[in-house]
This record gives sequence, structure tokens and C-alpha cells, in this order.
Amino acid sequence: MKRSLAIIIFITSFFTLFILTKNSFSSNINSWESSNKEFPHNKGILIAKNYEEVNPGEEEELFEEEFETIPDPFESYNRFFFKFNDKLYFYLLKPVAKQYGKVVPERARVSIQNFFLNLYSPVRFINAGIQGDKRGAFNEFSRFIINTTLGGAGFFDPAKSLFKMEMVNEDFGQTLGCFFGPGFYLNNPFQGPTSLRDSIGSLVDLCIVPSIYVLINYSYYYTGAKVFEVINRTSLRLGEYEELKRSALDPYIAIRDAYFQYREDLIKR
Amino acid sequence: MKIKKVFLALLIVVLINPVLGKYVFGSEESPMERIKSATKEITTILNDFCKDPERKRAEAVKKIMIIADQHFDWEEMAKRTLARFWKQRTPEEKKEFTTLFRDLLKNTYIDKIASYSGEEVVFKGERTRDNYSVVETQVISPKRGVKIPVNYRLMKKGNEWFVYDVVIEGVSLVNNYRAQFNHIIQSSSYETLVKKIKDKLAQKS
Repeated sequence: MKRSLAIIIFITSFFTLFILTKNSFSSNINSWESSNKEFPHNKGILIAKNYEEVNPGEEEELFEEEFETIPDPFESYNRFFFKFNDKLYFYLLKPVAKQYGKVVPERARVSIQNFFLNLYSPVRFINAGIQGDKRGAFNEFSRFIINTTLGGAGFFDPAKSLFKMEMVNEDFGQTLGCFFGPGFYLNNPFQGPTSLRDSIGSLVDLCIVPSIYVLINYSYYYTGAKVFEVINRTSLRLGEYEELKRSALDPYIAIRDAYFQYREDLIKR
Repeated sequence: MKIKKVFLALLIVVLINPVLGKYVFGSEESPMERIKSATKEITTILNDFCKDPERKRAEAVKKIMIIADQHFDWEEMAKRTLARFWKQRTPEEKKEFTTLFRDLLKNTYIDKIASYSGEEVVFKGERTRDNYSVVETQVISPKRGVKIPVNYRLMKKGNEWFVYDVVIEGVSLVNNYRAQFNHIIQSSSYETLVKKIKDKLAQKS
């Protein structure tokens, strides 16, 4: 029963992905066109055209500027939950994380983060494998073995400090990114910035780790652990969100674009 | 005849010898050298600032901005953030916008000097093609050992290289501002954008 539920989630997410990303390619261009209505000559290859307009005669493949943006058909929904998450951060998460940071020393918090990161190691290993990145997969596999044993269940990171093995940042969203565009932007309550592709990716990743069984069998513990992880992570990154907001004229757009650029860069690497 | 030969020999020596050549034809630093020397200067200023953060703040900001002005091509940056809307601006508007953009960056990033804690910069390499170059670096924070990739995009103007974009963890500063500026201009107007930047600057000082 429980296993079949997991399988159903897995399959449906694949199907929705297939149907939706097929449309998203055309909607990608459509949304660009609608936002460029006052420039009718810009139809078609908008990216290249824009580039030429700014820099006539500079078509450097290596240094080509990307004028791409992520489609955002649900902007009002996204903006609503952007505000919601913003309030949630300032009135709940930040004060809690601040207090927590005062009680727990930084070293311990870094260790706790290491522990959670180590738990997600299988996700990175499998996705590196699917993408054909043999070195990355091997790296993640060894890191998991070393840190789980020598690193005391992952609380320490001897793989990095002793063996100079860096973590390979991979997830199923990136695996899908080899074949599909991001679809469209989403800003969900509690979760924050994501895209259609990446939210499907994280659903699939949930099935890769044994955590789906924990989620179904011990959902209270799972939620508790998740909340704890978020508080711990936030306590180590206090001020980053504030800084991003301060540097922006329109924080919503700034974060949407930063998320898009960051993810596209991870996929390219 | 003899004088001519000596002159010719001297010319050849000057042209071939890179040290002399540099002296005669003006210095030409590679993009990486340029970023390296600027980083070194800024690190010295920041270390000096850390000794007495309260009193040396204004001085440090001033010094850093002098270096930034020498290395950043603000007009190129402003132009790229406005993209196709740049063409529609009058020369005065272009000038004004360039100054506004510089001040916007100054105000938002200068606050960061307070959070400096001996970060180390590692130079990974440079890729140059014609008049464009990318210098890849990594900023390593000593506290947690977190490595942040920071790439500089440079452009050759005359004999020197100037930074026109900074890419932090894959996020281009210019692209990010362009997304915001484009959105504001499209949903209202260029004037609104200028007003918004001015309001932001007024908030700070």
C-alpha cells in the first residue's frame, strides 16, 4: 500500500513533467513575445536580437550574454507567497534561528548541517550517475562511505578535510535540466523559489532517499527533522536574505532571476 | 649610415624586449594581473580598516571606491543593465543613469566591508578571447571554509581591461539588475526606475 503510493507519485510526476515541459517550450517564446509587444521586430530569436542591439557586431560564443528570463505565468500567486514567506522569515524563522544560534555554538551547527548533507548523499550519487558523471558519482559514493564511518554518521567531513573530496551538488532537477527547460517559476509557501522542473525534481529525489518511507511511516518525526534542519541552516545564513533584499530594487524579481541563473549555471557545470 | 643602423637596432630591441616595450608603449596588464593587483590593494585597505572599524570606515570606503572607479567600466555596466532601453536615452540621461547605477552598487555593497573576516581569494584562471576575458576566482571564508566562485568579466578598452560584470555563484550582477530594470520599465516607465533608484539612495544616506 505504502510502497505503491510511492510508485504512483513517482510515475505521475514523470507524466506531468512530460506533458508540461512539452508545452513550456512554446510558452517560453510566447511569454517573451507578449512582454515585447512594443517591439514587433523582435519576434523569433529574441535573445540574439537583443544582444545585437546592445552590442552590434559582438557575437562571442564564449562571452555571449544571456538575456533569458524564466517564464512567470503565475506571478500574482508567486508574489503573494513571496510576501507570505518574507513575513514568515522575519516574524518566525529568523527570531527562532537567532535564539537557537545563541544557545548552540557555531561548530555544532556546522556539524548538524554536515549530518543532514550526508543523508542526501545518495541523491547526489544517483543523479551524478544518471547524468553519466562517473567521477562525480564515485566522489559522492566515497564521500558517503568515509563520512558515515570515519566522520561519525556524517557529523564531520573528513572526506573534504583529509581526502580533499568536494561535495558534488546534484539533484534530479538538474538531471531533468539536461533535457528540459525550467518550465515556469514557482514560489511556494514554506518552500520558496523553485520551478516546475525543480519541484518535480525534488519530488523524485524524495523517492530516491529512504526518506519517503520515513515520511509515510513516521511523518511526525520527518516533519520535525525537516523543521530542525531548516532552523539550523538558517542560523548559519542569517543576514544573507536581508542583504539580497537590500541590494534589490524589486526583491521579488531579483530573487526570481537569481534562482534562475543559479540553477541554469549548476546544470551547465 | 651608421646612425641609421644604430637607430634600427635600437628600434628592434625596443620592440622585442617586453620590458622596454611596456615602458615605451604603455603598460599592458593581463586581465588576471589587473584583478589580482586590485584584490591585493583592497585586502590591504580592509585589513587596515579592521584595526579600527569605527574611525577608518569613511576613509576605507573612499579608498575602495577609487580602486573600483579605476577597474570598473560603470557606463558599460549601466548600458548592459538597461539593454535595449539604453538606446532610447539622451546623452544626459545616459550620464545620469551611469552615476546612479554606480552609487546604487556603492551603497549596497559597501556595507559588506563590515562583514569582512579575512576572506582569501584564490585565482583559478583566465579565459581571454579578443577583447573579452573572464577571470575565475574563489572566495574562501576562513571561518567555515565555504568556497564561493566569483568570476569577473572584463572588456578591453584602449590599452586596459575593465570589469563590466561580476558573476557570483553563477548569478551575473548585470543580468540580475537587468531583469529588475526591464520589469520596472515595462510595467511603468524609465522615469519610475530613476525615481526608485533615487529613493533607494536617499534611504541609505
